[in-house]
Amino acid sequence: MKIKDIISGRFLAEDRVTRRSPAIVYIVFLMLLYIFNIFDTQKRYRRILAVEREIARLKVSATTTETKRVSVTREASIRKMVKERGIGLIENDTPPQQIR
Amino acid sequence: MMSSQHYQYRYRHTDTTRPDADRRKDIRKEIYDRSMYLYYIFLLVGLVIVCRMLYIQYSAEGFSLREEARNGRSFGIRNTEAKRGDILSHDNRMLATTIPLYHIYMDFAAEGLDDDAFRAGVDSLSICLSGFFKDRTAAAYRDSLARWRTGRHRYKRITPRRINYIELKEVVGFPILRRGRNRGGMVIDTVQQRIFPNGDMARRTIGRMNAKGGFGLESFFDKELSGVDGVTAVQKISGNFWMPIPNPNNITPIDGHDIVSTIDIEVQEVAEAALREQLEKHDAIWGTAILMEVSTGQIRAIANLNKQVRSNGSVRYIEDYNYGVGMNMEPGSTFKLVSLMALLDDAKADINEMFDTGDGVAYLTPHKIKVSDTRRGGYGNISLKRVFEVSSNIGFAKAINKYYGHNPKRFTDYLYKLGLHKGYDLQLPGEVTPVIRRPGDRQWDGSTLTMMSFGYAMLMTPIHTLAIYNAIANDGRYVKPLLVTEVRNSDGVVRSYATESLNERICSPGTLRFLQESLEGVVNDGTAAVLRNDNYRVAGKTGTAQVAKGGKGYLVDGGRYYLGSIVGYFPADKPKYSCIVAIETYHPIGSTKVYYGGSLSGPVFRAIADKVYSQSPDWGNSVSRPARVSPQERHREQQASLRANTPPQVKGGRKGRVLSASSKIGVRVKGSISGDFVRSDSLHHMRPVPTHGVPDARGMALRDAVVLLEQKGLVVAPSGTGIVTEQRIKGDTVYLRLR
Repeated sequence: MKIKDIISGRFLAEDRVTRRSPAIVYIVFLMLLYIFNIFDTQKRYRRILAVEREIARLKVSATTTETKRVSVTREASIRKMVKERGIGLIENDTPPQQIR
Repeated sequence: MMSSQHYQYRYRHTDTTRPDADRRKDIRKEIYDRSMYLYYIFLLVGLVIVCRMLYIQYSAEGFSLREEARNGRSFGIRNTEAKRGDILSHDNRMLATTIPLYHIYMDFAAEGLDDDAFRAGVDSLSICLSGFFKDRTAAAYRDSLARWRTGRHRYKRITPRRINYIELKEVVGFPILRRGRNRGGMVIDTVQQRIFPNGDMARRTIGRMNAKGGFGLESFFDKELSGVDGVTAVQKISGNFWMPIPNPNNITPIDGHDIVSTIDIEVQEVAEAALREQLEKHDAIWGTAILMEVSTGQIRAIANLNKQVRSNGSVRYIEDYNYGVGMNMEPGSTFKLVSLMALLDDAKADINEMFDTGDGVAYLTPHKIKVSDTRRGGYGNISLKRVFEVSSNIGFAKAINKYYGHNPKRFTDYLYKLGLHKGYDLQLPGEVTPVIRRPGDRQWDGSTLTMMSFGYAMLMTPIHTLAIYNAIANDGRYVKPLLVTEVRNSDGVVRSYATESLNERICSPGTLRFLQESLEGVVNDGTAAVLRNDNYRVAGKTGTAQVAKGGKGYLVDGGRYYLGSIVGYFPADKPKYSCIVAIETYHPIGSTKVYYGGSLSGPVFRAIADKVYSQSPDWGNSVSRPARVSPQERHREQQASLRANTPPQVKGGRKGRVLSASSKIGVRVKGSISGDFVRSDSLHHMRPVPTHGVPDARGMALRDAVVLLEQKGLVVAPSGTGIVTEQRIKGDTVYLRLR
């Protein structure tokens, strides 16, 4: 085979190439799939990262609020707030009665 | 295909006048021409690509790029810190958690922060900071900021204290700061801080973790709480985007597990407050109070306080040591329960057997050990039953010596058979096990058996004593105290701890019944009378023991140390909780301070029991309609009362709940309703909430309103508490005013 054959494209018409053209097409197709997959994975990771960050933000927000809630809803705090605001509620010293 | 090798391109248009064979040749030639075009174009493109690739790889530019990749700027390691797990109370409220806390620094030499922007924003920033932190005036803030700006400082802290995430969101919206890192010079520094929302409550039990190993649950469950830090190899894809790549050294981060404890916050609070009050009132040295759930052994509260004298002389009580589980001491009278069990069950003594306690002071053979009773003049000749009721030391000493004096080993064997010497595998570090001597031990001598009969010459912790009495309350079933029920994470329960029994039957049913009755007698007309009340029955035993101080014995520096304790359970008829309170005091000779268990520790027990009673709905009588009332009568009653009073307004909300709540209080609902959400305009008219458009959440509680609106994809921004009174919508955010 000479250089002339390659440049003119003649060699593409040769039997040993045309016989393998389905394989070549298949390989090219796989390569494209591979490239597509890499980009797709990166896109997914971007989304995963963004969602993870959002979750972390929400979790932090929730925990911080929960902490405040726990200390505010303690009976001692409620007792203090009731007194401060002069609401006049007193703590029950008898248990609630169940209505059957 | 064409056979000619030396074909030359020539343009020919198809000529319909020529014969077919020639025409076919022309067409074929055209096709061939086109193919050649395409082939050359692709060949060219391919060559350009290959050349470019080679150039990038092997030229100077290629070397510098490779250098950059090699020196780590496109590959990196990402370390993820695992989030420490929480410690929760038995009803899932937070006892210990980790939250991020932030400081904000400013880079006054940031490139994007020009003088105009700074000048424009510094005043309002100062006002915002001053108004937010309330620690300095706006002018003071402005001074500092201006000074730092002049000096072009690169890293100056502007927050006076660490702020949490909610506060951070507000502060980063302040002027200048909201311009970000480059244009505003804002730098955020984060630390993960372990916080305890209830302050010092149950401090030694919840514990703290530190470099020295820590204490409490934080230390015992440190491995479960810690989780696993993650290590991931990452590759830079673009700008700020790094993608994880597979690597054998990668470690998947695992967040720490949560621990569910058995503690009840409200009861713990009451226990600590009541204990503190008594300690302060009687100038005690230390005190402990433990509340246990009878059937499960779960510890609902464990309070420990000890006196601390500060350098300026002031006195306060802090939780510095876990006396409840760590203080091994001589139990004293509370142990007599066990002696009695031995006498009745093992020695088969008769409860009516008589013992002469004399005048209150006796010298027991064979070693002339002095034993005295608390009552001056003694109790005389009394039955064994009475001996227990009055808690006579002499009585017990004589009884135990009668049945076990010749074979003391049988007594200690009985104690070991019960399992009294065993520890509990408590879920806390540093558990101490009881010390119960046996004949043949180095410290055993002729006086040991006598001393043991009324609770001396042995060491037990308060929780141990409590567990024994808990067994009496639990129908003879001796269970291990439990502090943690579950280890879990977001996927579910990782490990659970169930109630474990050490001894299914510590005594015979007859003895059990007798003990229970006697203990109730101690409360009804004995030393524990402080526990007697009209609401629930209590059974218990008091104890007042002298405390030996090491080698110095019982009389130290002209005074004595006393341990006043009270232990029991309630309600006596169907025991739900058992409790022990023990307080140590010091009494110089001649002191008239209180030290008896009943008067010293009793009020703490009472306060805890009262609180538990007020929280438990199933002890009291339930209110139920008498069945005798006919439906018509009931309806008439109902209508009459509706007209007479105003029944409570039923909130809007989910249909099922509204209907069931209305029926329970006797409010009849008019109108047929379909759909999930209803609101009530008037007393007993329910209307469905229309499902098209924006739902009207007025009249509902926040919980239902949020569900209703978020179902529609709206964002809810509530303000205030109570019932929704106003509703406004802006964009896709609904603003609710609650009152």
